Amino acid sequence: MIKCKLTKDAAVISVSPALYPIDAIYGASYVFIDRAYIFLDGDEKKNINIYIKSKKKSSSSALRSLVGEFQNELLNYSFRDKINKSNRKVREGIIERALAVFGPQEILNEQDSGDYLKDPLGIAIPWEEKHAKPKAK
Amino acid sequence: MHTLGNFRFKKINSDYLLTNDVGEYAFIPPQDFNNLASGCLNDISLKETAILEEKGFINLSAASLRLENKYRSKNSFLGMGTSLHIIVSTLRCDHKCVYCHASAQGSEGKATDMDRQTAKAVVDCIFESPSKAITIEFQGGEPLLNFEILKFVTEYAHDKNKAAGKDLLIAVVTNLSPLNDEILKFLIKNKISICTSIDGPHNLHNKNRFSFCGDSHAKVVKSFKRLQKAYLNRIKYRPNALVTITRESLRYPKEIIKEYIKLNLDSIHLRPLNPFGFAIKQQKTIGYTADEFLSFYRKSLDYILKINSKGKVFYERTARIFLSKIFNDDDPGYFELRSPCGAGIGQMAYNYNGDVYTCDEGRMVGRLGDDAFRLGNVREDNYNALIGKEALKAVCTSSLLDILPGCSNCVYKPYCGVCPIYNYVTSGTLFAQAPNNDRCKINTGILDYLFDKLRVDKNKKIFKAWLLAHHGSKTV
Amino acid sequence: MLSLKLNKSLYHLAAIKKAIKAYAHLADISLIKLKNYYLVKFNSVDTQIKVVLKDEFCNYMLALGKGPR
Repeated sequence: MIKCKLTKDAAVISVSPALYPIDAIYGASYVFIDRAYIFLDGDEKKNINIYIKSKKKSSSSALRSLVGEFQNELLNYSFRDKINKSNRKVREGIIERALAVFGPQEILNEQDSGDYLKDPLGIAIPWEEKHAKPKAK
Repeated sequence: MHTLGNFRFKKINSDYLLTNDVGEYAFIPPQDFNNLASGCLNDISLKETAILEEKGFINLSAASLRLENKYRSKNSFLGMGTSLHIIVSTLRCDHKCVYCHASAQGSEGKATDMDRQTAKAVVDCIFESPSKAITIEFQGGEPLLNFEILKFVTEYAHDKNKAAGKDLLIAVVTNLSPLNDEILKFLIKNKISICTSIDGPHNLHNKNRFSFCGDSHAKVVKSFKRLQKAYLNRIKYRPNALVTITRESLRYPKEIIKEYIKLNLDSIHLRPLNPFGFAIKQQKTIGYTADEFLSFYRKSLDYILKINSKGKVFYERTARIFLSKIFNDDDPGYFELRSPCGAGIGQMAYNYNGDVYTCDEGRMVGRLGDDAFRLGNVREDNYNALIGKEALKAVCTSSLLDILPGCSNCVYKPYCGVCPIYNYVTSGTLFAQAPNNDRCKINTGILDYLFDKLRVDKNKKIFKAWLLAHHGSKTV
Repeated sequence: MLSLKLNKSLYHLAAIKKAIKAYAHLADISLIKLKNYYLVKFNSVDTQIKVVLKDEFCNYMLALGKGPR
C-alpha cells in the first residue's frame, strides 16, 4: 500500500520495500529529477519515505498530479524489476551465445605484437640479471 | 503454464507497446497487459498468447534459439572494424551557412588544405582497418575546393584496393558550387557518390545558406540537375540531398518536401540542428525546442504519408532507419542510432592536418579548441594505435545503452542510440541524462509517432515499401 | 549553516563523496559519519543558491545512476 501526505508544496509517499524494491524507487526517482526534487529516508527493510517537491511553484492539484504520475512510475519500475529478475539468466545466456562468435579479433593480436617489445612481465631480462648475487667488492 | 518473458513496455494511447532486446514489438490491450503484470498469464487471450510466445514476451526459453540468432545478426557489426572514414580535405568554403557545424572558413588561402603527404598517410591508415567495406567520405569546408587531393586520394585508394580487395566507395558531401566539366568527368569516371545540401525553396535555402558566389539555391539546383542527368543509368549511387532544419524552416514543412519532389528525389532527411561547431553561437537565432521540432516533424510525416497513399513512394530517412531497425534482422549502419555508437569502431574523421578524431562530431569539438576526442595523427599513429586510445574507449562505453539509466529500461532501446559528444557539448558529461535531453525527446517523439502509425495496416504497408526502396548501400 | 542527514541504507558513501566533489565550488562541504546517517554540512553558501542547494545535491546523487549506490 502507498501512503501519501501532501503539504503546501511537497508530498511524502511512504512505501513498503517488500512491495516496491529499492531499485524501483531509484528508477522512478531518476525519471522525475528534471521536474522535482526527490529525497529518500526511512528504513530500507521496513518503510521508505519519498519526499517529492515540485521545482516550479504549483497548485495543489498540479502537485497531486505529479505525485500520481510518480506512483504510476513506481509501479512501472516495480514491474520492470520483476521482469528483469525472472529472466536474467535466460537473457544472459542468449546474449552470451549470440556474441560468442565475435571473439578476440585479429586486431587485438596485432596490438599484442606491439606491446611485447615493452616486456611488461620481464621475460626478456636474462636470469642472471634478475637473480645473480652482487659480486663482492 | 506460461512464464513471464523479457520485454520493456510503454503505454501508447489505450494499449501497451512491448519490445525486447532484438527489436520485436507487439501491441496488447490493457486487460492482457494487466494479466501479464499480475502474473495471470493463463488468462491472456489465445491469439495474443501465440504472438507473445513467438516473440519471447512470454515463455522466453521457447523462443531463445530464434532470439539468439536475431541478436547475433543485429549485432554483427561488432568487431568488423572501422568502415566509414571521413576526410576533411579542406576547411575552405565559399558559403557561410547560418548553422555551419563544420566551422568552415573563407575560400581563400590554402593553409587549411590537406597536402599530398598527409593524404597518403590517411589512405594508408584507412586500409589498415580490417573492415571488408570501406567508405571514404569527403567533407569540409567545401571538398571540391581541394579537388587535387580528392583526385589523389581516390586514385591512390583504388590503387591500394587492387591488392586489398575491399568493397570501396568514395563519397563527397559538397555544396556543388565549384562543380565544372573536369570535376564532373572525374566524378563519373570514378563512380563517386554525391550528396549536397538543399534546404528547401529558393528564399528559405538562401536565408540559411549564404554563398559568396551569388544565388546559392539557383546554383545548387542547376548543378544538381546536371549531376542527376549525368549519373542517370551510369552510376548506381544517385545524387542525393540533405536538408538542415532551422527555426525558419519550421514554418514550411510542405514547401520543403515539395521542393525535394520537384527535384525528382525519392526521400528527404529531416535533420534537427546539431549543437556543434559554429552552430552553438547561432542557437538563439536559429534554434528551437524539441517540442517545436517534433510538431514540424509530425506535420511533415503526415504530408509524406498522404503523398504515399496516392501511389508515390517517398520516404523520410530518419523514419526509414528506425523502421529498418524495427522490421529487419540486420543493423542499417547508422552510427548515431546504434549501441555502442560508431565513434572510432564504425567511423573515424581525419582532419586536413592528419589529426584523427573519434568521429566528425569529435573533430568539430576539436575545431573549437577542445581536443578531448582527438585520437592521434596519421603521421605518428597507425590504425591499431588509434583504436586503442582511451578517448575512443570512453566514447564507446558511454554510448552503450545497456548501462545508461533511462535508456536501459526504455521501450525504444532496441532502436535508439546516444551521442556521447552531444552530451559532452550540451551538459559537460559523456553520459546521457536521458530522458531529459532534447535528443532523447526528439527520438522518443519520432518513435511514438511511428509506432502509433504502425497500428494502421495502410501505414504499415507504406512503411514496408520504404524499406524496399533502393536497398542497402550506405549513401552519404 | 545548512545540513543534510542522509540515510546510510539509501545513500552510499561513494555517491555522497562524488556529489561533494561536484559541488565543492559552491560551498565548503564537510561529511560526518553518524550511526545510521551521514551528516553533510554546507558552509559559506552563496545566498542566491542557498534555497536550492540541498535539493539539487540530493537530485545529483540520484542522477549518478539510478541509485545512489
